[in-house]
This record gives sequence, structure tokens and C-alpha cells, in this order.
Amino acid sequence: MAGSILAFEAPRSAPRARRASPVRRLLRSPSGAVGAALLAVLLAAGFVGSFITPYDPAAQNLGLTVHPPSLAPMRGAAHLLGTDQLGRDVFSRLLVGLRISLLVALAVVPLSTLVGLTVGMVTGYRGGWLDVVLMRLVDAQLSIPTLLLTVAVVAALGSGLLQIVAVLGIAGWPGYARVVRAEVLSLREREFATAARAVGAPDVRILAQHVLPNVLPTVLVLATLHLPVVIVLEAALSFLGLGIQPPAPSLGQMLGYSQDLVWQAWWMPTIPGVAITLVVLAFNLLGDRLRDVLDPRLRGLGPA
Amino acid sequence: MSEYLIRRLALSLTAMLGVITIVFVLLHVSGDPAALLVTQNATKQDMERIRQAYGLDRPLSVQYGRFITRVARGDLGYSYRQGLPVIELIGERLAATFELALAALAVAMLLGVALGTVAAARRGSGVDTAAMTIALLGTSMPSFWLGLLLIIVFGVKLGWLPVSGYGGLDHLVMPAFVLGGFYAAQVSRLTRTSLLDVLAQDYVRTGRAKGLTGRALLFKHGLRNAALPVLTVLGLHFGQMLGGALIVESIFAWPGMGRLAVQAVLGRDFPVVQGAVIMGAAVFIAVNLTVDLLYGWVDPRLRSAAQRA
Amino acid sequence: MIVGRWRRIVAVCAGAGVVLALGSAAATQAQTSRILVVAQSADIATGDPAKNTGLATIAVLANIYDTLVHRDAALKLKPGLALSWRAVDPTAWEFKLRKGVKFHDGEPFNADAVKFSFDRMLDPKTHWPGAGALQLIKAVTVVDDGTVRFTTSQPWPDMPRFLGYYGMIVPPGYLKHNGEDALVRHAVGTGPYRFVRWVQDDRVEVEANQDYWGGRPEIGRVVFRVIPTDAPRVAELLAGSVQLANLLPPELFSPLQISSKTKLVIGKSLSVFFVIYNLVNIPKDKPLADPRVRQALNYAVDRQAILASVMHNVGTPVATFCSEVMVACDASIPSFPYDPDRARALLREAGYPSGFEFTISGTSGTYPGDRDIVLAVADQLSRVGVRTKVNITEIGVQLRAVLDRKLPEGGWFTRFTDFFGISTIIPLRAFYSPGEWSQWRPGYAPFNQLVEAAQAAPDEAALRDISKRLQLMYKDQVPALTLFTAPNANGMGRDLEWTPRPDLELTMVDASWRR
Repeated sequence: MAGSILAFEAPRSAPRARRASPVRRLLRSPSGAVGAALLAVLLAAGFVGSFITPYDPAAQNLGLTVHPPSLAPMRGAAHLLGTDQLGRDVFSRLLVGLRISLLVALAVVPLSTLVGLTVGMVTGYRGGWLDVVLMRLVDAQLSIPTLLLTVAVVAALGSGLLQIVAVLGIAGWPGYARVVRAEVLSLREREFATAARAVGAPDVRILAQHVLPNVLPTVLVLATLHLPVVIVLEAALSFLGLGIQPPAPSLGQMLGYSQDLVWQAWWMPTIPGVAITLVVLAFNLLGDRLRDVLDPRLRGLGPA
Repeated sequence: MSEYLIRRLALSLTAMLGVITIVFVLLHVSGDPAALLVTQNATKQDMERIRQAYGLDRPLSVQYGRFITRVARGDLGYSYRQGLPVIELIGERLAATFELALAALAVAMLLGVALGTVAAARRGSGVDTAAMTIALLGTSMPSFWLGLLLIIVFGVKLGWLPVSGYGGLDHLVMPAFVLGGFYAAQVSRLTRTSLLDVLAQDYVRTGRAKGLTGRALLFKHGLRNAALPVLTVLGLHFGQMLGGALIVESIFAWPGMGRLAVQAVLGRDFPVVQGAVIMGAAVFIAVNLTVDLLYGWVDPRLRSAAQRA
Repeated sequence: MIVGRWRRIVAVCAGAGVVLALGSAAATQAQTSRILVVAQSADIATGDPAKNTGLATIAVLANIYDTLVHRDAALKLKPGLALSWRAVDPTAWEFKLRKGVKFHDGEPFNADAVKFSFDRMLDPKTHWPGAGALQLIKAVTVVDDGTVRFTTSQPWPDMPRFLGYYGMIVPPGYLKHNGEDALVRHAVGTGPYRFVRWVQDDRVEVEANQDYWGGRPEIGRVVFRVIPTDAPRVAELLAGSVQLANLLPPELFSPLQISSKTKLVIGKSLSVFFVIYNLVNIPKDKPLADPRVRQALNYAVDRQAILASVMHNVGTPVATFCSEVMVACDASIPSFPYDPDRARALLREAGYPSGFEFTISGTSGTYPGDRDIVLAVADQLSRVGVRTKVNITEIGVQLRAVLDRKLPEGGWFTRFTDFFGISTIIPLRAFYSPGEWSQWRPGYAPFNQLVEAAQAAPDEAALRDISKRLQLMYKDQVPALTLFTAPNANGMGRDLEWTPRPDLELTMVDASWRR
């Protein structure tokens, strides 16, 4: 195996059973390990670091605006990543913005997953007119470019944390539904399912005990791939001014508001840009490895 | 073949109907559709006029029917902010967005396939690693940040390219690159993997390295087979590009449909937003239909497989 | 011999002189053929001045159309399409029109055109947004081909000043021939530039009117481009593809000041930033109902700190509602100093020792520095105990809440511009209770009466007196948190000579390239 952290293996249709635990295999590969480590750092920064910030993220200091990053103390203490247009500490705002971005992603993905999983399982297993109608709805929603759809829903519902979570959750479910349905369709005809039906087990039990566990790995992969998409979507909305509103910080919002400063303070848009890229990178690395480990057939789906 | 055609056409139409339904729901989910359809200077009489004109006081099912017939006729509503029918506003800008999307697609294909092929050819080497790192970064960097960086470097510091606006080829370069870059990265990874797949099989089968000529032949064969999944992905991407165009057009002041949509949302000009969604979906569906038909024509195996799905 | 040498010298000098003359003529030719590109952040809404009064629209249309009265860069009145005007009696103005002027389509300008234009503008069916400003005009009559009479419903000594900004004259023949909406897509006026093309959301192109009555403009061709976000506009300025960008936010001042190819030119400003209190039918027990509270907030804000940081030192604090550029503004009235102790004392006195809740409705990206100003003000108010929340919305949404009088408890951040240059205009537009924007209802009767009196002030001395009384009353009653003047900041190419106008029109007739 090449020493490069980016060596992708050719696919092998090995049976899924009788291999080392997915987590071990995930962490054994360099890219998976890096992704996991990066994610750990970011999660720590976002969920622990953001509560012990060196400064109050909202504390303004009009005498020290747009100051470059510096370790040397000035009029008090050092501003590791400098200050913004109102003299607020960029590092502290970055941590809180990271927390908010992660929170949004971690709220949206389970929401989409839940809806998509339920719809996918029900339509895949039961079929019938419900299947036809819901799948047409899925087709329809997937025909609308995601950003355009989210922007339109914001136009109808307004912006703000709760609305953003709802909007992005709504935008995400069809992807899951489609894939889960396809999985369930094939699982439906497997021996364990036909056997259970012959015995007279109720559908719900079959779904819960037999279908769900087999579908979960796929869903997990999809979810891990969906997370970076949500991060970028929220950042894009905030960048356009449609997402998280001030004074609450958000990485996309920080980038959007500092684009004008790009000449005299190049670090100001760069820092949130790098932060977003790192978060997405972490999820991408993990998601890629997870996909290779759990379900190579999903390759080609990629981040949507 | 005609059965396949009719099937795909029917699916497309139902998808379009679904889109119109989604838009209808959006319009009513906020409570007062009339408030969404007028400008901020509207008086109570204006709102009443709108209610009458759109029949907003009728039962929902009647409104739904009327909405569908209006859209089918091409009437996408009226923007009170701009004082023009929505279809006209969009029509004027559609060409610009298409130009951008096609250019981005070209970038995605050429750059992506080239990068992926080079990486596959030199698998495991430094070139491979470098190429795939670039690709990974490309899928991880948000387009608005990439755009900003390019503007600073190529527009301001080096002065090689115009920074914004609509004009000749030089105005198209940066926006197309920013829009297509993400997909170029994806395509390159996909190309590499598909090529390696194909190469592995052929390599095992023939069992001998024929030298450069052999590799070149394998590549041609490999590329042709790898082309199909890449093409599918590109078809999907074109639709997503219409979404990504919202950001790119805003950053580069490109007078397309995306920028119109963003300004309309910011300005609470819902008729335009509504029209953009319907139009965007229509284009996506049309493109997918075309791609599917091309497929069915090119590869009969896929046609029957699709029929079974 | 001497004759020969002299002849040679004369010949050389003559030759040099010819070369120089030809050279500079060629240079002038080259200069006037050089295109000037101006970048605004919004497109014109229409080519018909009777359909829209938006800033971006008027800024461009002022090149294509003329008004009866013109104003120079210091806002002094000058003859425009009218050579002279006088009040024949308190409610009638007579304007003598310029002769020999033609519209761009060749039709002659005369009194009929003036009557037609004003009748059309003031017709309720036209929905002209500026009709309110000219509502005192009762009738426009043609006296003869070169004379027009305006009859007003009450004495209006300031009418000519208003006609220096509003009242663009349109060609009746063109409209009759091509339909009522003919001007929307193709503007035709009498102005120094004639319309060439409008690519929506992208640019408006105009070229010099060779037969302009005021003399052909030096710059032969102007393109007004639309670049909605500010950073790309500045980027293009730095790159040289744009030579003028107006109304720039303070964050973008430094790159223009640093570059050797551009310059930052700050014009005089007729705009003032306020946080206007929501006093619509306010119950007596609410904090803002007490003038001491309203004053306290004015003491709590450190205007100089905000000006020095967020506004990059562009702007001056405003005491009440007018700046010294506006006619009849009394500059001796001092602005509220920064005194947080006094603020806290006033709050205690009014019965709010532990402060109260306050919401500022603001915008982002609509006015230069808007978002940061609102956040800074909110922070400073919080320090004296007024717990302030900030609600940033898009401008249309904010204005809708203002017009519907549905603002939350607190105030709305906005900029009011006095396009007419008279100090009593902003009180009329912002604070006069019957005014559509006013959040001061039922308001304070003496204030409203003074505003009405200002409209009918017979001469400037009377106006000054009224204005001073209004300003003192304002400091007592404090219907708003007055901040400072809003910047009129323009980025220009170093070789462009042009003076920014306080009324924010982008008229290029006097622009030139530095040799």
C-alpha cells in the first residue's frame, strides 16, 4: 500500500462480514486517521474552545480595529488572529462561529436522515401509490438546484438559526430517501426478509430488525458526506447575507463581511475561509474512507 | 426506443409538476401570499388587487389549478419591484447563465479528465499525490473563497484578468474556473478511480506490459469506459452548477439568472424567486432528459437497465 | 545674413508651434474620445423619470434630462431649462424658458413640453414617487411659447430650489408617437448626454450631445456600469477598468488612498444617519415616552469613536438634523457630547436605574458602514444599561415595517438625505407626524406647526428663524438618536477631474481628464 495518504484502493467486492471492525479499518488508513484527528481538533475547538475564548466574542474595542494577528500584547492582551472592524477578537469569534456551523450541520443531518430514512424504507418496502407519489416528489425536489431551493425557502420563511436548520433539513432529505429506497428494494427479496414474512412477522418488525441494520451503514456514509455539504451551504447562505444574522458570528458571515477588507487586512477573509475548508476537508477525508470501508458501491456519489 | 422516450418524457413532466407544486407550497407556507407578491410600497388596495388577480381568496385547490395553467402558459408572474413580467426578466439573463455554466462544464471536463488521467498514469507517484491533493482541496474549498482569492491574485495583484462584469472571453475565465473548479476536482477523482478500475482489469487479463503503445491503447479503451460514469456525473453537475451560479454570479457581477435570484430574495421579490426556481428546475430536467436519451441511444444495455428501475 | 537667420528661427518656431497645436488638438481629440466608466452599486430602474425617484436612477438620468432650474456643485441655483423665474404673486411663479433648445429626437423644447411633463408627473395615475414633494403645485399653465406659470395652493417661496432636483422635462411628441412607456427603455431628454443603450443589470451607455445648450461636454462617452458589491467595484478602480465609483463604504478607503492610480475624493454630504425612535402611539409608561430617556441615549453614544474607527474619520457629528451645507442650518447649536455618566443619571432620574430593553432595526450593505455603526451603537447603549438587541434585515423589509408602523420597541437606523439642500427638509420627511415615514405620532404639535410654517417661509431670514427654533425644539423633544453625516465617498482614477455633488447625482457634464 502506498505511503501516500491519498492512495485510493481499487474496488474489491469482498463480502462485508468477517473483517476487522470498520472503525479500526477506518483509522488504519492515513487519510482516515488524518481526517479523524482533524475533526477531533475542530470539534474540541468548536464545543470546548468556544466556551473558554480569550475574549468575549461580542466585546468591541473601537480603539483597536482591524489589527493584524499578533502574539505581542497590546493594550491588554494579545489578539492571536487580530481584531475585526469593531475591535472584536477574531480568534474568539472564529471559535464561536465554528461551534455554530458545526451545530447547524449536526442538527440538519439527523433531521434529513430521519425523514429520508423513514420515507425510503416505507416506500421501498411497501411500494404502491405512496411510493409513486413520494418518489415523484423526490425527483421534483432533486430537480431544483440545492442552493436555489434553499434561497427560495429563505425568501418564504426568513433567515435566522432555526429557519436555516429547517431549510437545510428540508433540502437534504430526498438524497437519503432515494438511496435508502434502492437498498430496501434489494433487501426486500433477501432470504431473511422472505422468511420473516412467511412466519408472519409484522412489517414494522421486519423493517426494524432486519432492514434497518443493513441500511444503516449506507446511511452513515451518506450522512458523513452530507455534513460538509451542509457546512458549505450554511456558509454560502450567510455569505450572501441570508443565513445567520449578526451579532451571532458564523464562518460564512465572517467571510462575507470581511471581503471588503481584503486589501488592507488579507488575513480577515482568509481565516474563516481556511476554517471552512478545514472542516469540510476533515469530513471529506473521513467520509471517503468510511465509504471505502463500508460500502464501495457508493463511490461516484461524492459530495453532492 | 420510443417506449423509453415516452417513459422518460412522462417522468420529466411529473417532475416538473412536482416542482410547480413545491413552489406553490412555498408561496403559501408563509401565510399571506399577497404580502410576498408585492413591493414594500404597496398599499392595501394594491394587495387587494393582487388577491383578485391571482384569485387568492379562492379555495386552495382552485388556486393550485390556476397556478399550474398559468405556469404552463409561460406566465411566471409579475415583479412589482422591477415593473416587468418575471419571464421577461429571466429570459434576458438566461443566456448569460448558460454561457457561464457551459464554460464551467468545459473547465470541469477538460481540467478534471486531464488531472485524473495524469494521476492514474502516474499512480502512486508524487504527481499522483499532488494531483489528488489539489483535487481534495478543490472539493473542500468553498467557491466564494476561491473566487475571492483568484480576484486578488489575478485581478488586482497581477492585473491579468478583469475582475467583474460581462464581456469577452477574458471576463469569462475566472467565473467559469470558480464555478467549474469544484466539479473539476470531483471529476478528476472519479476519472482516476474509473481508469484504475478499467486498467486493473485489462492488465490482469492480458498479463503483459506492451510498453508505451500498450499503455496508450489501454488508456483509450480505459477512457472510453470511464467516460460513461463521468458523463452521468457531469449531467447531474450541470444542474447543481445552476445553483452554484448564484454565488459566482454575485461575486463577479455576472448578469445572469443566479444573481437575479439572489437580489430578488434580498429584496423580497418573491415572484422572481419563484420564477427562477421553476426555470432552474426546467433546465435541469431538460438537460437530464437529453443526457438520458443520449445514453439510451449510445448504450442499449443502460436503456434496458433503466427500464427495469 | 541676419534676416536669413531670423527667418530660420521664425520658421522653426512656427513649425514647432504647428506641431504643438496639432499635437494638443490630437491629444484633446484623444481625450474626449476616451470613455469614462462609472460604476454604481445598482442599476437604473427605468429610463422614464416619471416612474422612479431612486438614487441610482436619478444619478444617471440627470445626464440625459434637464430640470428647469440647475444647481452647481455648491447647490447654488442657476438657470437650467429656465433662464429666469420670479414670483408674480405669493401663489404663482413664472418661469421664462430658454429658447432654441431641442430634445434628443429633434423636437423643440417649449412651454407645452413643461406643462406636459409636470401634468404627467403629478397625475395620480402615473404613480410618480416624488409627487408628494411637489404637492403644493396646483396647476401649470402655458403663458406663451417661452413662459410657464406655476400656481401653488399656498405660498411656496422655495419652489425653485425644489425644481432644481425634481421635474425632469420629457418630450411630449416622442411619447405621443411611441406610446406612454416609450421612455422606459429609451430615454430622450434635453440633457448634455444622449441615451445610447441600456443592458439591464449591466450598463447604461450615453454619448455627448453635440448640440447641448450648455456647451458640449468634454468627455464624449460615458458608461454607467452596475457592480452590486463594493469590493469588485474597487478592484476594477484599482485595475483601471472603472474610473469612478460612488458611495463607497469606509472599509474600502485605504486601498484607494494607497494606490498611485486612484484617489479617494470625499464630497460634501447632505445625508445624516439617525436611529429614529419608534414613538408611534407610545404608552406613557414606556421608557421612550420620557424625553429624558431619549436624551440619555444621545449622551450614551460616542460619535467620535465611531467616526474615527468605523467611518475612517469621514463625517462630522450632527446636533439635530442638518449639516452646514444645508441652507438655514444653525451651526451654533452644539451636538450631544459623549457623557455616559450623564446618560446613567438621566436614566435614574427617569426611573430606569437598571436600564431597559431596546431593539435597533438596521440593515447591512445598504448605507456605507451601516451594519458596523448599528453594532457599535448597540454596544455603547448596552454599557449604560440599555440592553440593546440588533435586528438586521434587508432594506425593503425594514422600510415595510416602518411604513406599516410595525417596528419593535426601540428605533430604526437609517439615513435621510436632503436632496434639496434646505435644513427643514429632513424634519419634514422624517419627523413631521403626518409624513409617511414618521414614527412620531401623534407627535408634538408645536414641532409640526413649525415644519408647516417652514414650507411657507417668505424669505431666508424667516426660514433661518424657524429652522433655529425647530433645532432647539428637537434637542428638547429628541425624537431620534442623531449620529453624524453620512459619507459621500468616491473613488476616482487619478487623472479624472470631477467634483462629487452633495445631491449624489452623477452628472458628468463638467468632468474632464487632467492633462
